[in-house]
Amino acid sequence: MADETPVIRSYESAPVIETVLSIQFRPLAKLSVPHFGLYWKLIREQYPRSELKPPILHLVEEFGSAQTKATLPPSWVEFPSESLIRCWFMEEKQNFFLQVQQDRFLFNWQKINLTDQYPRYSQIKPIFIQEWERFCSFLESENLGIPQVDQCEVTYVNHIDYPSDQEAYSELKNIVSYWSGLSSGTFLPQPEKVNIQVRYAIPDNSGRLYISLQPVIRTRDAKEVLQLNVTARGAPNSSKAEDVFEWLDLGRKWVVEGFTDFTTKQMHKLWGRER
Amino acid sequence: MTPPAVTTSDFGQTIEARPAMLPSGAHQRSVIKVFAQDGQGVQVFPLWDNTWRTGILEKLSRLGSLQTDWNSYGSPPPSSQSLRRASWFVSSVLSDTAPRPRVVPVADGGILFSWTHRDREVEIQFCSDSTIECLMTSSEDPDGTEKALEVADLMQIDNYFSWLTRK
Repeated sequence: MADETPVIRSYESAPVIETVLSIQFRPLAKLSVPHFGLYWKLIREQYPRSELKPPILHLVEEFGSAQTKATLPPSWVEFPSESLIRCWFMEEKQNFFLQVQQDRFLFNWQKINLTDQYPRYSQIKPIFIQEWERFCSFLESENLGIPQVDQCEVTYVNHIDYPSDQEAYSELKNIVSYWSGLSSGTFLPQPEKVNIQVRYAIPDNSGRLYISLQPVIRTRDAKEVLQLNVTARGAPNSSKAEDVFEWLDLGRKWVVEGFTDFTTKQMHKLWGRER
Repeated sequence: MTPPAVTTSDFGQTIEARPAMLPSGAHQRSVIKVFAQDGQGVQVFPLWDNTWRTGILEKLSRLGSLQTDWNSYGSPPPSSQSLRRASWFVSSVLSDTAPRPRVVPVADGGILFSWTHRDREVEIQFCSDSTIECLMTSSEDPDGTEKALEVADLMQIDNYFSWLTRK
């Protein structure tokens, strides 16, 4: 498949610490625990580490009622159940990893060391296409069904170093273009913490963009940072690979352009905006 | 499922029994326990609900900024290994219903957690070389029992709290 990634904004040293590409499909009832092991055997050379995690909710963007619908399994589902398992298959260095559950296939890149460079979407996408095709071939060879894709998702997680002192949030306007930090009167002091959540509709009911900014402690180094998550979610035109990856291109465009609009030009300069 | 409210009317007074209110975010956390909200791999702890764990994690973050000679005895700052283990312990092992520990840096670059109840004390130290040590003392055993812990042993932290409060 030719790489037709559109030219959009880019940064030399963006604060991105993780990217997640996700394809969600209707649950494959026959994909059960032993198959996760069979699939691992297929990819184990590249992804020798594994971890078990709780599954991610089945989320579908709905329009009209303007809601995001989360589907929980019926309350009578009991453990052990295939619908309650998500497997991580990780590279030795753990920068790249695949996630598989009964209704999702995800591909992550995460920054482990300070010197790790974000490998850019144009490098990540071909690997994801290859892994998706390998996963679909596995499903076919094991007679487990063909994924009926209902949503795609692109998430970029950004960590912005930020001083944690009491007065720090008076300077938030220098990072977030939407935040003025002004109040109508003089009663309120500077906020102690700020948590921002914004949702945008992508035109033609193509999906939604979610932006959230919250102060967090990063567990791996106990460092307080501002976490800026930008997620685009929506339905591709069909389950065909070309439609799925066309939507992921759209989602990635919204994530990067949304990040650019949401943050200030002052920060873009700091992050080395290239175009 | 939330049980329905129970209403009784007596002497003109209406008394309603309702389910107890959960601590902020408790329901959300119970859902997360079974379902994740996203596919993020980098682990973080949100600093929004103002619980004691938030306070301890903010303290650990500040300890990460200590410089060599922070105690004027030439001691090194807490090592990245001790900070990583300590912050994982607070965010992933301890819960908001666990007793709050006292957390202090130690001279060799480690971080010490301690809990005291009556005459008993439990100390868990995340050492600079990434080992974990535990010391349990009481009035009957003032020298205490010291042992090395594995990461998996920390999952049994409730056993230490049980010992601490045992009569």
